[in-house]
Amino acid sequence: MKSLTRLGTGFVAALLEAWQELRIHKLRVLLSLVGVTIAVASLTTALAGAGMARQMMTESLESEGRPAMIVVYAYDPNSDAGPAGNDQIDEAFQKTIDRFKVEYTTMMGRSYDQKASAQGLSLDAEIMVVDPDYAPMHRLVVTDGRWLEAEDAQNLAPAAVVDHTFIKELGLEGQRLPLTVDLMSNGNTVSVTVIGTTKASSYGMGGKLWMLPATYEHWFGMQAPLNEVSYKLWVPIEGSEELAMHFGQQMQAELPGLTVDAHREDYLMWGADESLKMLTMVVAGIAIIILLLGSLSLLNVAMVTMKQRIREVGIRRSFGATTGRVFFSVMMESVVATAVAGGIGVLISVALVSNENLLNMVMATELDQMPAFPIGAAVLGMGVSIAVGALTGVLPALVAARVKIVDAIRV
Amino acid sequence: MSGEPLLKLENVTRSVLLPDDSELHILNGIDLTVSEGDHIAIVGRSGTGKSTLLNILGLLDRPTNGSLLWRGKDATRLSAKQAAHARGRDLGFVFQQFNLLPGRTALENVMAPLMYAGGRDFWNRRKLATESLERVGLGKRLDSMPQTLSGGEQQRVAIARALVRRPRVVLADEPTGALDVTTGRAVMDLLDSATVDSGAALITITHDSNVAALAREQLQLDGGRLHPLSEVAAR
Repeated sequence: MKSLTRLGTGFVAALLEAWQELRIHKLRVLLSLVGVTIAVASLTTALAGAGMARQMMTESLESEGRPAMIVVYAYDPNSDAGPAGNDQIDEAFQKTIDRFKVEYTTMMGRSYDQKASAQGLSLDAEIMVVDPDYAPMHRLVVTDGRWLEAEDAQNLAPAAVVDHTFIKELGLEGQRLPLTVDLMSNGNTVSVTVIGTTKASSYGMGGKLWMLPATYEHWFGMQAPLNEVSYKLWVPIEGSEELAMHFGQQMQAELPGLTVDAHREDYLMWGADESLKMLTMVVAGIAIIILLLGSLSLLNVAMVTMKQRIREVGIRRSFGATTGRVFFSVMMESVVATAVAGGIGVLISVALVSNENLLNMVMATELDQMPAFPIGAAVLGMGVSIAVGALTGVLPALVAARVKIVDAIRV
Repeated sequence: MSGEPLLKLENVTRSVLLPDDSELHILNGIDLTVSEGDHIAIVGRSGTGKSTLLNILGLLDRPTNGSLLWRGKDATRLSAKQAAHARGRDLGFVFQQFNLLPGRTALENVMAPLMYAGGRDFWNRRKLATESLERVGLGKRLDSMPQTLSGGEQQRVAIARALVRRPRVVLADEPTGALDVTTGRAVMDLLDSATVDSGAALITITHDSNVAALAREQLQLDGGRLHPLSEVAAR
């Protein structure tokens, strides 16, 4: 216990000594640490930027379906028509999800035969026929109004949610919800109530409109049957492929004469993450080279300074400083200095990366939502700067520890 | 003073190897006993090995041969760490060139040895250092930088620093060497009274016979051996 207390006191004293030394040699320390600060700021910015880009890319990819997403099709093998939907398939799907107790599911039908118009403007709309679970399953965020609910199927006027492109193309920007737009298909015009809007889709040129299957069936089913229908399940990643297989087999048993295909279909299956990993590695590699150069300049200054401090080391040894204590104190000077430099570097990085205007300029795009600064990058930046301090502190600390007291006092 | 000697040197020799492989004998059989409250002056011409002897007495260097007992224990067998702890705990050094740490105030300089003390002394370092500076009459110069102090004041800071951990032996290497006669005398009076108050032994190395005369025991280092100054004068 006594030796532990002594160790603790020694550690505190070494830290105090290191801080005192840095305070006395402010200018020297400041100049020697410029390189480390810039390097840590670059490294942290590179990692944070890559992390944020990954987050943005992930969010964009997840708009196609969050992992693990199982897609189920049922089609007639003797027909050229694509996967279709009907009450029998719908019933088989519902029965199977009840059996497997899947929490998040949606139907997914598309129709390209509608033209939307409002205020004399029109556009070819892509109609997505989905269940309410579609939004959480595809990270769809409603920016104004609200998302579809099961009760909307009972509305007297068909309810729909549209994306920002849809609103923009029809000149409805800035107008308050709910809005009314006309949807025309095969000569039939239906007034649709827009109850919510989302940000613009990251893919596809035209506007998008989402509505519930019951709504579509009631108002447009006869004139414009859905072009393709599938069903989606959002399940835990682990065991998802086995689940897809068993789910397909079970649903197949419910639909004799049809072929049921169930498989995973999300970005993790495509290996889309690889290019970003490579980019992160390249940028981090460059930052590490900068850091090494910064460390070398730090080491250089520390070694020259140590030669001038031999007498001081000798005096301290005469007070009772042990070799170990001298070594630790000198190394701590470097660690404390680089920790401070690293902290400043991380702050610079946070200021740069969190600057919305700068980020928009670099990304050459208008970001709808600022991604948060990744904490991991800040922690890594601090960790790396402390490690650099320890590494560059070892050599001067060795020089100090090897000083012969008798010679040092008389320097 | 009675009791076990603090330091006892018997037939201590120290020699160094020269670049031409020949041996230079600096000390040739030193016998010395230092007890609590002693005030010993060691005089000698330049190059006679006074500083080498002080280094051995201060556990900064080891004898080549002979016995060195530190409070009854063989000091030649102390590890570097044990010797460092003994130096910090029981020995105080006063140097000719003061050796104050640059860039630190008088108070920070006096606090410096307490950074290597454990427990209470470490945590109360500011209070202890202030008291030590007050004892040497520098209570009003706590925050002064060394370069703003006179030579005598700097040496008083060094004395306060040497005494702050209440050592048993104070080793002063030419403590008045960089001071004028009056200031030197004042510094020696201060060192003497401070060590008398604390009961510490004071060993002064000097080439100034006036400074040596202030000690209760005067020895001369000549030919690598110690002789009482009275014997040398009689020769």
